Amino acid sequence: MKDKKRVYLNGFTAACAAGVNIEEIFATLLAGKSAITMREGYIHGSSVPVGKIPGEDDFYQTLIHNVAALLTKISTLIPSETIVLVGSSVGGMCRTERKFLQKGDLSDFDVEETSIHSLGETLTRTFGFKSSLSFSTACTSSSMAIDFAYDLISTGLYRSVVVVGADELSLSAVNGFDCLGIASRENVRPFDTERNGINVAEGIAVLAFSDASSPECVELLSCGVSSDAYTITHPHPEGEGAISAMNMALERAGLTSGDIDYINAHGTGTIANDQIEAAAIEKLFGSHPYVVSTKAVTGHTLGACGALEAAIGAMSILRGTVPPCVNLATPVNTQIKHPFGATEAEVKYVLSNAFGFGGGNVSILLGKVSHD
Amino acid sequence: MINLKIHRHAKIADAQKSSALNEKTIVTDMMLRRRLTRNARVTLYLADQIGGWESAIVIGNGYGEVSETYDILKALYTKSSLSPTAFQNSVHNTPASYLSIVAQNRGYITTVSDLNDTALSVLKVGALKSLQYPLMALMVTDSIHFERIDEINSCGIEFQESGAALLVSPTSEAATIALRGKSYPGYAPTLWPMLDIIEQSEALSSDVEAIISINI
Repeated sequence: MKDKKRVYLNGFTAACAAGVNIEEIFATLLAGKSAITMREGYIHGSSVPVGKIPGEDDFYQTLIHNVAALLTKISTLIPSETIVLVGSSVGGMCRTERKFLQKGDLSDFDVEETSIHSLGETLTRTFGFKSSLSFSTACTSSSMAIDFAYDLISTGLYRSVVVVGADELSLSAVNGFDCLGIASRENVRPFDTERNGINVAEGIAVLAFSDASSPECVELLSCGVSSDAYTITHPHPEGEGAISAMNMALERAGLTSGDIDYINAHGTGTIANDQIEAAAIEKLFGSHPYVVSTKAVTGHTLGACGALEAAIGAMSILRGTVPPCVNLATPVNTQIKHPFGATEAEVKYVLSNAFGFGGGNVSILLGKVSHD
Repeated sequence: MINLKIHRHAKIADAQKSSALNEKTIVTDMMLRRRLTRNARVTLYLADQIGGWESAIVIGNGYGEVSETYDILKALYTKSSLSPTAFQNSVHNTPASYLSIVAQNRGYITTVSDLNDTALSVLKVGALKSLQYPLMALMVTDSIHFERIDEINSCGIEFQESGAALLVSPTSEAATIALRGKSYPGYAPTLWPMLDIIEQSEALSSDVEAIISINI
C-alpha cells in the first residue's frame, strides 16, 4: 500500500444541552456548569434530568444549520467530492414516536423519514454531498464513523470526509435506560463513588476531516476498535475491551501511554462503566494524564458522543485548557488524575473513549499540529 | 476500487420466521439463546454457514430490530413499563453484539444501516477494512416480521426474514463478476446487491473464483 496520508480535523460545529455552538459548549464545560435540566413529559408521572439542545428548532433543522455553518467556515470543502459519514443510535426514532403516539397506529409511518439513513439522506439532498454512509453501533456510532473517516483519507480514497454524530432525545431512550435502572434521577456524577447512572441527552457534532492541514486544526492520529464479547449491557469486568481499544490507538499512532495528556473518558456515570474504565485507565496510564468525563455537563448524547467529545478534545488541544470533571466529589479511583477545575496546560495528545451497548469500544487519538 | 475474493457465501429467506437457523446447535447457552432477536438468529446462522466467527465483521440491517422497537412503542403508547430485554435488544448493533459474545470475537465488528443502500454500505466498509483485516465476514439481515407488518409493508416484501453473507479477502486479481443493480422482488431491497453477488458466484464455473470490485 502507498504511504498513508495524514488526517486533519480542520473544523467542527456542535450543539447539545451545553450550547448551540462549540465555543459556547466549551465555555460551559470550563465554567463547570451542568446543562442538564429536570423535564416532564419523558417519564410517565415524573420529571427526569435530561440534556436538551436550547431552543425550539426541529432536530433535523438544527442538524442542517450545523452542517451549513461548517461549510461556511471551511470554504475549501467541496460537498460533491465529500462523503458524509453519520453515526447515530436512534436516527429518526423521535419522528416514529411522535406519529405513533398520536393515534397508536402505523398508518403514517414512513421508513424513509424514520430510519438511521434519514439523517445522511437529508444532508446529501440538502448539500449535495457525494454520498452518505451510516454507522449505528449504539454509543460508539459516531466514533465508528471517525474510524472509517480515518481509513478513507489515510488510504487516499477521499480527500475530505464529513463526520456527523447526531442523536435526538427520544422517549424510547429515556424510558429504556430508566427501565434498565441506569438512568439517574439527579445530575450525573461521573467517576464519583456516589454515582448512580446516566443523564440521557441529545447532541449533534459535525467534523470536517481532510488530508490537508489548516491554520487551526488538530491531527487525527489513529483509532482503536475492539469488542468485549461479554454481555449486551455490562462491560467486561477487567476492562479488556477498553484496554485493547486504547492500546490499539496508541500503537497505531506510535505513541506510548506517557505521551497522552488528557483522556476524555466515556465516563457515563453508571456504577459499572466508571469503575471499570477508571481501572483500565489506571492500568495503562497510571496517574499521568488528566481524566475527564464531560457528560456531567452535556449528558450522554448516545451515538453522538464520540464526535461531540472528539470536538471537545480538539478544543482542549487548540485552547490549551482541560475542562474540569464536574459533579465529582469523591473519586471512585484515587490513582487517576481528575482536574477539579479548568486547567491550563499544553495538551499535545488527547485520547477520547466511547464504549457502547453490546460491548463495542472505540478510542480516538488526536494530536496537536505544529505549524513551525 | 478494491477487489474482494469471495471465499464462501450463504443466504436464507423465509416468509415470516425461519425454522432452519440451527440455534440450539450454534448457541448452547439456553438463557442467551432465548434472548436473541430474530436478526441475531439469522446473523449467527449466516456466520456459521460461511465460517465467519473469527474474522473482522461488518453487519448491515436497514430497518433495525423492528419487533423490539414496536414493543417499545406499544409500551410508550399505553404508558406501561418498557421491557428491559426489548430495550437492550432494540439497537441496530444487537446482532453484532450477540455474534461477538457467541463467537468470543474481540476484534473489529461494526454495524451499518442505510435502508436500501445497506448492502452497498456493508460492501464499502468491508472492502476498505479488508486492507487492515485480511479476512472479512460481510452480512446483511432484515427480519421485519411483527404483528402489524402488513400496515407498513408497502413495497410487498414477501420474505420477511432474510439474510445474506459473504466471507471475503482483498485481492489484486481481476474481477470476474460485477454489481448489476439487479432487483430481487419479494426480498428486502436492503439485501439486493448481496443476492446479486451470490447469484453470480454460484453461476461461475468451478475453475473461476468469484472476485468483485467495490467502488468506495
